[in-house]
Amino acid sequence: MTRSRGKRWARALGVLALFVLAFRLTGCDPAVFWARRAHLRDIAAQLFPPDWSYLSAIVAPLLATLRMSVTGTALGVALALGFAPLCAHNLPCPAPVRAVLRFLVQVLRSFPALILALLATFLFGLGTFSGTVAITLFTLAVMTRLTYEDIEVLTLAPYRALCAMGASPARAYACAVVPEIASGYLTNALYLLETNVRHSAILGYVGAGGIGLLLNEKISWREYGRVGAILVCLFVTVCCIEWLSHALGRIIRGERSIPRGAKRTLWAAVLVCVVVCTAGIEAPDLAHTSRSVLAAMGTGLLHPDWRFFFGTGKDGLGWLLLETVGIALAGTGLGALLALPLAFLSTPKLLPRPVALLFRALIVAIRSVPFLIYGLIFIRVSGPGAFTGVLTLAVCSIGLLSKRFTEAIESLDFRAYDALRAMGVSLLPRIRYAVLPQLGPAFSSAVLYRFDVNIREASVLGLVGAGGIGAPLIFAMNQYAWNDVSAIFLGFVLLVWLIDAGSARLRTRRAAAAPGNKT
Amino acid sequence: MTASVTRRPCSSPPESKPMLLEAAHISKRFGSRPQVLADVSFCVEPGEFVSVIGPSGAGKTTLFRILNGTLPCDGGEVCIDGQPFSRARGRAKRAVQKRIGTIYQDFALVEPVSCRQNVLNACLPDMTLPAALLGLFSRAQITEAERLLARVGLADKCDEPVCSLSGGQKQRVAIARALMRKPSLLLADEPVASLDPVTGRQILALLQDIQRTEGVAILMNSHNLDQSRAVSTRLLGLHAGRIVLDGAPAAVTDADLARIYGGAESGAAP
Repeated sequence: MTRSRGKRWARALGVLALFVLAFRLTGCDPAVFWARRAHLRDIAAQLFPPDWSYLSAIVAPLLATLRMSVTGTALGVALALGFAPLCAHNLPCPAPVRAVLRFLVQVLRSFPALILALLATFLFGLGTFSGTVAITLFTLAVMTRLTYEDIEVLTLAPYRALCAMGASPARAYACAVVPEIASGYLTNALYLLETNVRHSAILGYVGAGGIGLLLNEKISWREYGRVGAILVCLFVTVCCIEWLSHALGRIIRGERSIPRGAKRTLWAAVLVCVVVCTAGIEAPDLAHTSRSVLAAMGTGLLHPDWRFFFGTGKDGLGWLLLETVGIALAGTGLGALLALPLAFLSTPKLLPRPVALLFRALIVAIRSVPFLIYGLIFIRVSGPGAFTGVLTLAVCSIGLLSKRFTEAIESLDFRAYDALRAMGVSLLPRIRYAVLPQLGPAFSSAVLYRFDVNIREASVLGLVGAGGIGAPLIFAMNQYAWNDVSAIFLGFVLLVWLIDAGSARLRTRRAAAAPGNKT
Repeated sequence: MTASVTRRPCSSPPESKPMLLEAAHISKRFGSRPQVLADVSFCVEPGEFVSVIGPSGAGKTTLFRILNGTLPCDGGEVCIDGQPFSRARGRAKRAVQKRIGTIYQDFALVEPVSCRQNVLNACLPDMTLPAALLGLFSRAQITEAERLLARVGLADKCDEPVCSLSGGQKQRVAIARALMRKPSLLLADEPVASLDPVTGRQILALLQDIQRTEGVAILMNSHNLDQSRAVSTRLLGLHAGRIVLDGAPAAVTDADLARIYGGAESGAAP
């Protein structure tokens, strides 16, 4: 007992030390933030009331953003259905092909959509085509992984039965495997559509079309009234997409039944929507893409700058990656601290429903603002550097973390809590012994998952001068220094792979320790 | 012949030793719904094994929640060792609650933590706030928790998380936790309702053993008339929130059961 308690304390102190180290490494200084908080208040005051006269200029780029997300999601999701069976261990596919495809999926997943969009602009020029390519690739990578993981947990008896009757593997897959994964697959597709709308809102920042370009321009010119109008439009759009996705999700999961005819009409409408959005995408601009440019790019990417890769100084890759990890770690820790009270306040079980819904709306509002916008706002408060990155990621983590925390609180079992109360145990020890042990595994799993996401997002914070690996990556790309780009890509893919593997292991251990899994 | 169903006196004469539990004229109503408990009065003496029987909705669980202080009653009084506590608040209430152990149908244990920690949770009311929050349990408390786990047959499960145990084992942990308080009264609310018949009998035998060897009075709430008759020294029948039977199990007749279960159950144990 003493040994296990000692272990627990050592683990808690270790995690605390890690966060403190990350805060020190990224130069977090609450005093600076406090001293310059007036800037934040000023920006907030200028954002509202929004400049509604600007609304007419917002509609077209907002529609372009939606077109990119819908087309990119639809294409990525459709392609994933073809790639997933080739990656799944339990379906027939030559081992080398499977290994290469899984590696490609892992590499593609390592990069945020913004970096993919920047790469696409070098190949397909500026405009929504590049944005759509980026969203498609991002969706393809995430969706392929989710789908092959779903396939791998199936028993596949119907598939084998069809194969034994002489059906080709492709036909057996379509008839026996796809129907089994359909519900989870469509739910994941809707979830990706939601995230893609938020992601595509910032792609304009690197010239890949949509509302991001306008947003960046208005922030640079400090026309905050117009920024406010854009943010309100984005909030409304995100709310509509979330509502739509929620309603469709209920139909997919069978929680809401509609007549067969209505279902067909619904799918036809979805198809028409995708076709209309695809037709509206700009054609690629290949005027600046020549064979020599592609050759230089290919040669550079195949020959990483090893001196930069192994550099140990502050301009070496190791330090930049360490700073990126520090930003992600400190941002996640701070985000969890901010999300915790919001999660309790937005749980209808603990508070009156209207109050909880008000806090839920606040969380959706925080989530609807693209993370680069927070970066651009915080940079006015804390100046360029890693601290701004930490603040940005902390605010961006609130949405997902408070959602996961709320789910954990809602599924709490209060029976042990009531039993301790009947024994005469006072409030704080009751929470300590009957509530926290139940919430701990769910909370730490959510924090780990968000840390995974934050590592990727921290890699693009450099775009706005918020520290990390992003700034050298963008500079290298804009200067066509493909050897440096290659070294950064390599280092980053390795880092993401390491963190993925580590956090997956930790999450599995946590899940095994969670109640109900060990019966 | 109808069994003796006369009620025992509930107010002890001033000179006599107080009863362990005295419930006098308890009533309870939820909102505008019909009264759940109406003028319920009974006593429990030290070392007794009393079963409360009655159909679903008779008010058994409400009565238990009033007796362990988690639900206030509208009228009447509950005294433990002569101390009234149904209207007590804060420390005074917690001081009386310490003498009552409760076990539940659904065990009410903290699933992710070890059996030992669940038993030690019963020590929390006696600890200072910092010691309780930091989990600074004394060596004697830890040894006692392990002894009680051995007493209920779980000596080798001290470090196991509760979520890895079977239903019967979980109820044993709950009993060890209740005994950790060294209670003079153990309230058992449907303790075997979610267990299979064999495990249920084992748990009841354990409760009976605890009552006989440690002199703890047990007040059990049960649906199973046969099991209640087999282990109890006295039966209390509750019908529509009123006590309609108070007597020894052997003296209970079909007519008594008809009064408790509204005639449908006469002649057959539910």
